[in-house]
Amino acid sequence: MKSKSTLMLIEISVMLFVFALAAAVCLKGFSLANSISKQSEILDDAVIIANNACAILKHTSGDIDSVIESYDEKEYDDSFSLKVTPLDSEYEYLSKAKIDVEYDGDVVFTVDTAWQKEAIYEK
Amino acid sequence: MKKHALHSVLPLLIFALFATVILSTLMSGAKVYNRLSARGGDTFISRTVAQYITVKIQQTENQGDIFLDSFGDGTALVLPSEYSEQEYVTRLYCYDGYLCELFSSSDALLSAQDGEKILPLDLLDAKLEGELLTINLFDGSDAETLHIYLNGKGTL
Repeated sequence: MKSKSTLMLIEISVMLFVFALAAAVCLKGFSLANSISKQSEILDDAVIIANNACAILKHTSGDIDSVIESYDEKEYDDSFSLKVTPLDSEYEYLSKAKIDVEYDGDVVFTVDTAWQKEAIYEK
Repeated sequence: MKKHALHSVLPLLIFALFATVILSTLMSGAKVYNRLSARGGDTFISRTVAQYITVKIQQTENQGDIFLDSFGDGTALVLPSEYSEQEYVTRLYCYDGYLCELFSSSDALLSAQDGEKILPLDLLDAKLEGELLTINLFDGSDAETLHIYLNGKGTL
């Protein structure tokens, strides 16, 4: 009788161990899903920030201050930051710039943009 | 006697531990699901509505000058196009809590309720300054501002 109850106890313990193992795997999966979803949200926002910056840069023919001003007007998450770096262009009638969107100091999205120089456009 | 009592309490303790593990796993799963679903709802405008409008504009911007008109519950984006030498317009506007699309001949007299409901959206507001189109989208607590540079206006 005693050995039967001990056997049952061992059986329950093994079952608990297996279930705890499965639960740990599930928790890891939940945590991964949460992290992927957060990354995807950050990337979506970063793409919109970069697209908006590109549009304003083209509209103002490369006025970086206008881009930053427009970015500051919107209430984005404080962890985001926008960096616009003018690039050398191989064509005299084109201007280029690199737009970096950072989240917590890490670059999450980068895009290069180009626009026609105003002086040429006026001719 | 004491040993016997311990023997009957131990399975109960193990069962309690088992129940705790089940409950905590379920609770944590529900919490994560809730968070993912809330995040999906929060980014619905930026992901879906903004992408839909941007793609629609990019599809038609070279076919004519996009302009704004008062239609539905606010401003409508009017995207002109030409088929078989006939002029058509696609109107994107907000009506009855939805982003609606109405494709018709440019001179057709149609009302806002004739459009097709595309996606839920509370308000669409747009402003056109030269080649820069600014669109503000509102859906409950979620708001998004889009700047679109209209390439079809002549620059690169």
